[in-house]
Amino acid sequence: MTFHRGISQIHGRTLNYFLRWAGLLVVSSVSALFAQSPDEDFADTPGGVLEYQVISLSAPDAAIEAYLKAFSVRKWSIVMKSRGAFLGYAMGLELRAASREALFNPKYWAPASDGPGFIVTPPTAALGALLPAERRELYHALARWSGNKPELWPLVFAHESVWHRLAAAGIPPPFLERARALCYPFGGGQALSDFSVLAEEFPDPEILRRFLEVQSTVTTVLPRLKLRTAKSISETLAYWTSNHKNPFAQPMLEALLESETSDGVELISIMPSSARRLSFDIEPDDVSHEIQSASYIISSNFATTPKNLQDLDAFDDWFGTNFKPVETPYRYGDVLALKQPTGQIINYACAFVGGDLVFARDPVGLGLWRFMRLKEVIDRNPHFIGGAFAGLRYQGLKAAPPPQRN
Amino acid sequence: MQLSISALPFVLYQWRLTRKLLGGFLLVSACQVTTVSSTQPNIPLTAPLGATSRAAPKSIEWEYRTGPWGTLRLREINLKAPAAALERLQFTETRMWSFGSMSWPKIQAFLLEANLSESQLAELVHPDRRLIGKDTLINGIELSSDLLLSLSPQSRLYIYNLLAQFPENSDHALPFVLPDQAGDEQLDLNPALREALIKLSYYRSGIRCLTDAKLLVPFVTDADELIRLKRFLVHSPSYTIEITRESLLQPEEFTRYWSRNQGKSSRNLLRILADSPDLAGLDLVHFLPPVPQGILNRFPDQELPPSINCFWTAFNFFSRNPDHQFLPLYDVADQAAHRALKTLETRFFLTEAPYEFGDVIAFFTPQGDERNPPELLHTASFIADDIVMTKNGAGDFKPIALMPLDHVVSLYAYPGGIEVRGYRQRP
Repeated sequence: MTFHRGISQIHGRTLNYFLRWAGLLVVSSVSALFAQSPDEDFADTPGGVLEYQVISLSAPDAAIEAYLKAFSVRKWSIVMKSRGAFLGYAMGLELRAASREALFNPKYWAPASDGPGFIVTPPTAALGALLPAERRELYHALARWSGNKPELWPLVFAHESVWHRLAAAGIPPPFLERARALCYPFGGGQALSDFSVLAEEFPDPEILRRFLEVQSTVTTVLPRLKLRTAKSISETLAYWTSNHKNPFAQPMLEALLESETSDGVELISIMPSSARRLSFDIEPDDVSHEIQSASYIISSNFATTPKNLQDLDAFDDWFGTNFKPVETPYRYGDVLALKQPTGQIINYACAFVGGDLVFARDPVGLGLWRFMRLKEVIDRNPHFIGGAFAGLRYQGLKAAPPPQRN
Repeated sequence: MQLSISALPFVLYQWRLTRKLLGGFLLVSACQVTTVSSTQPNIPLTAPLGATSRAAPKSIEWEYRTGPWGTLRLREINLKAPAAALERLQFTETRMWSFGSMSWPKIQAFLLEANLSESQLAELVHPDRRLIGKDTLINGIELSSDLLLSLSPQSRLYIYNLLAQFPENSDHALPFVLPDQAGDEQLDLNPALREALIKLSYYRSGIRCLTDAKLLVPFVTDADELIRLKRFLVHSPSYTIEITRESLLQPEEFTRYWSRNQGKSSRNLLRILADSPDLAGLDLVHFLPPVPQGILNRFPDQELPPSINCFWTAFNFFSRNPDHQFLPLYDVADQAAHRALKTLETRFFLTEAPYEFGDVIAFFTPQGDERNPPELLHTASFIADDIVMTKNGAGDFKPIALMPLDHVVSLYAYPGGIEVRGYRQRP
């Protein structure tokens, strides 16, 4: 991927356009937006029926290795003017005095080498001693800085069944017991940000790898497009090319319309390059880099040809100029931007595909890029709770306005 | 292209490569083309949303191929070039024949053996028809359209096989390759145009060829028919391919075969199949490295370099960051071929079939002598079984497609045939 350079520095600037618009948008809850029941195994779109096949997938070996390397040691990024300023901020958090003292001792603080603020290396023992409520409180506060990836994108245990799978996979009971103790609750599931504690207390890389592999396993949907069900060729072509604004898939669609088997075609075959490359995958670099802006960049590729991903400022301007709020019904290529009810912590977007289906990066620690049902996206990350998605639609090719100079 | 004889030495060599595979493909019958026309309403590519009804699609069966790659299921598709790309496609002027440095007496002696009529021969040897190179020693003949149209297939083949030896006559060396004449009746082209197509086509080693496509243009009645003609000449079959769950029967062989793709773990993909009992198969696109993943079954567009060619496609198969040295700089394609050949010699080694995933399949002109070493015409990437991923010539009217190797070979109607060699990247 070429767009990592500088992502960690921009902390949401790209998508502040969205925040600017947020007050104007009609933001609907997921259930209100999509009449489709999450139990249904298909979605009817203007471009044909999407049939959902249930599949199970887990993070690739390279991503697991990258996670192991990046997060076995804990570092916090605190972008404040001084340690005192942070301590003042932390006074509002429900932390025990002992936790406060153990975690924020000045000897763990160092000025950040590549920007403003500080890098804190909290002691593992102090992290391991936090109470679940403290973890939730503190990690939510730390998630405001995009460098704190384990807090922003924790490992998530959505169902009790994950623990059963881990046990069946041969993860030792003491390890699992400790992992459970390090989790903090959110919604109907649990989140784990303290992989570093596990890595230090159980320094067997094979167990850690196996834990990450099984933990990252999800049951999800793989959509197949049944073009035989499409009502008209014109409408089908218009739908999957965002009204001819991104026509690269047109020849493939025309070919498939001519010669389709009854079992259709995997939807990925008509998706943009970036979606094809990322599907079922997460680049090793993505594991440790920020992906908030990437989620917008990738999502915008569905409606139009990709922009220069290296130039994030240019993308920022271009996106703000060309994508405008839109109400339901959404259509293929619309960017769905997360709006949280109480202050934006994460800038996150996904691409609307059809029905209740989006293409997204699963918003958890080792989450893959994949097709997801929208309700699943909302339920996956502690910071998404109570949030909703608002649509932005590509308006056509326009240059960004010239920068204003003072 | 407007060419003068003085410009002949500078004829853009790229056209030799660009146009080498413009032809239709033998594996797709004209019958299929006609079926396409009759089952799908003719909708402009920029058609607004409308209520155009769908006709019943053609019923296509999957083909299955099993080997160390697992089990593939394939479905043939016909990729149609975007109309905008076809509008930009210009046919080459072929009314000027270059005989290189052959002397006039030798040219005349050659033409005497070409089974020409008296009037044809008279026109060809008339001094007014002679062209002489301005800066280099090149002798040529300028023909009238009528004469070119009147040549018999036998005379045409005899003359064109000689002309193919001179680099200025790129379309004589690598002509369009057409489906068999039997299907012409069903083409959606006017009768005069069909008749001209028949007159101008000839057979080389059993392959139906067309060199003088530009001569067809006066017979075209309107812009739509011109697009239909171009689409017929450049139409591109491809496959959609899925790896089926039967591949689970040979997990070790399967994992080893696809493991040359460093980016994605074939073990992970196999596990998806193993853990998803309802899943019949996974699209091939999941198993490809990032570059082919992004470009498979699509035409060059704003996202891809406009001059993307077979060398760029094949040599960047496993690249994380594509190397653009394989693109023709300043439109000089033979330099790209030269760089590709150098790369083959330095970073690859020759290998025999059975080929492996990602091997470069290189197409050369026949072995000549020291003065005429084999020339690298084309490269493709081996996928599995007999399937290669191939960008058949530069230009945005040719897609990056999946085709059987034999069919790609048949598109190179080079006199004397071509030589195919396999290369594998050095570790």
